[in-house]
Amino acid sequence: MGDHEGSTVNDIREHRVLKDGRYYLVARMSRPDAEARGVKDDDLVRIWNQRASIVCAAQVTERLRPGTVSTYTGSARYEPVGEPGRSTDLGGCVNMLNSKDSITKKGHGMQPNAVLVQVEKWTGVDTWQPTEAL
Amino acid sequence: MAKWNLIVDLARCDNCRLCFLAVKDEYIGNDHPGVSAAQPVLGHNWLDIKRKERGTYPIVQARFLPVMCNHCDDAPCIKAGRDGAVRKREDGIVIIDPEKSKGQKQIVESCPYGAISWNDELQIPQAWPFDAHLLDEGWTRTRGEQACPTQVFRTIKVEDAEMRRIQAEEGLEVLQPELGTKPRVYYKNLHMITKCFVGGTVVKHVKGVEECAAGVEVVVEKDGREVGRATTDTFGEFVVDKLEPNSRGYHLKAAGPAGRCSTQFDLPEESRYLGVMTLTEG
Repeated sequence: MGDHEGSTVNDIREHRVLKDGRYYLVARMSRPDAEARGVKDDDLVRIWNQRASIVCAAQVTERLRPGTVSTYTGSARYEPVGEPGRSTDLGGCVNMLNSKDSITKKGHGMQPNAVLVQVEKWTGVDTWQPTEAL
Repeated sequence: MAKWNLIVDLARCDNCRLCFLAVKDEYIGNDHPGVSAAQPVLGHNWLDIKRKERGTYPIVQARFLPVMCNHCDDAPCIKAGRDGAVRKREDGIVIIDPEKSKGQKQIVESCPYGAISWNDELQIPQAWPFDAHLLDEGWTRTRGEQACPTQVFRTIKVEDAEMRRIQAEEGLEVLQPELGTKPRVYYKNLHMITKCFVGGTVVKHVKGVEECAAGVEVVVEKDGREVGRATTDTFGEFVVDKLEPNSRGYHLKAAGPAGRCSTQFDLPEESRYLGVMTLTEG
């Protein structure tokens, strides 16, 4: 039982939302941020920075400070719409937004943490390009 | 005769989803002859959890409502089923027969709670059968209750008269009683979903400094009658719960050693935060 395609865990609304035949990872947004972008519950949103661009389903909440977006990093899927690493991911692999550096100089762990992102409604058309060297 | 009932306490549910997964584990890929055919891997949530957020920053509550087949005593699905496709057992459990119900999609639509799912592959309506196959083997608790770490559920087998006594004693409610379906699933603290609260922060001025006012008695009145009261916590915050949504004309009074304050407010559809109120002497 895991996050793989076809897993029953996908039925958990706080985890993924079924939209147009695909289970999208849920991203929580504060109400003011969502309203400013015309985003409602279950709308598809694109979350991106210079490293990656990920599509999630929005969950609008009062439980977050404005200016923050929250997702879990438990996605087992990477489904880029175009060239891997150079296009938007529909699978919800939000760890792509993180730095690829190790957590310590001589350690192997990655450093998943808070990162700077921007959010907009997903248009379905991918024009994103990474600006950080792969 | 003693019959099965399920009591769900909303104050104990944190949406951990272990009950949800336990029900999936029990039924996906498993046929229980006479009780249920296998549940599909995706799309059927025989036990589901609904979410409701109440209030606005900084007083927000997330509440969760486990929902499933209510095993109604006057179940619309029994009437909708042809050829005895849906039947009521003597112990109160409603069973949708996995053989006789084949092709009867109207059974799905008959449930006002939306608790019945349609199995496309087998062409049958399906709902949570109260884990009847386990209870028949001598189990006393449902899978969901067993899996729950916070004791949200209580599965009890008692006479109807005893259940009415428990309902009155513990203030249990059923979902949408106005439908008259007589559910056997009862809820404790259902007001956490159906009612509103009003919250606020009380402060006082001590030597020119604004301080949280703890231990202040807050009383809410409507038409001159008290409808709720609370005491402010260490942060000066209070919550008065169980108020009707879409109601008007409330009067709030707060009084403590540092003074008193009052305000008027209306409640829209949702709970609200009244902001910071300052105690003044006199």
